Amino acid sequence: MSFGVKAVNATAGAILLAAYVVLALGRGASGPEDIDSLRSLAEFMLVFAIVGVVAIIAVNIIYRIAVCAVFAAKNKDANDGDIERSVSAVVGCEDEMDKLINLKSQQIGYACVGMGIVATLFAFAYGDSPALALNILFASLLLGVIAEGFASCGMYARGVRHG
Amino acid sequence: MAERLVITNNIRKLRFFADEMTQLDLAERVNASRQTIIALEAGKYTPSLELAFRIANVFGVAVGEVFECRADAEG
Repeated sequence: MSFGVKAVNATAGAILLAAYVVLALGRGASGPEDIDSLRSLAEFMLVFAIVGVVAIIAVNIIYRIAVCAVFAAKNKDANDGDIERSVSAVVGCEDEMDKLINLKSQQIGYACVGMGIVATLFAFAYGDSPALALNILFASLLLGVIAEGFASCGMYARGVRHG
Repeated sequence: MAERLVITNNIRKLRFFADEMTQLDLAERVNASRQTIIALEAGKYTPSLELAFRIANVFGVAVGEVFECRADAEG
């Protein structure tokens, strides 16, 4: 994935996290502990995850269309081949630098998720409500995706070294 | 103390002398993205040995003529 795609994904992830926090607070993030309310919370999270995946796919499609439209508007004489070539250079193939950046940024994402899992265990250990623990876990997964996205963007901007 | 190796390159100059080859043309010929060529020219990325050889082959020169290395005190 290119810098632009990563930036779009990270921004979409941040918006989704903000939406989740607002919705979860609206529901009462540390609500009652009975199994029925936990089931309804799990359903809420599943629906949110599915909506999130669909939203990110839609945002990516819109981003690609926007890149094509902007390029076509800037280069009115360009034929379809030129447009395809230039657009694929912006959003297209993944090469060795992309793979290295992905690898390094995924480490940061995994660290966030790992800390979230530990925080979830602490929440259980200190007797917080299971609903709160589940919310911490879900938020840490979203935070991991966002951290990975923004770390990638930072590495594209600053550069990346082997080792 | 270990010295840090600073790797510089002459890709921009070589592109200019290769009929003003564009970054996109070079990227396509070495099977990399234009973003990677931009990062290489800006000194923000050091390529793998394979990519370095591919770039040198495009210009028909030795790797040592594309990339140069000097030691720099770390810190």
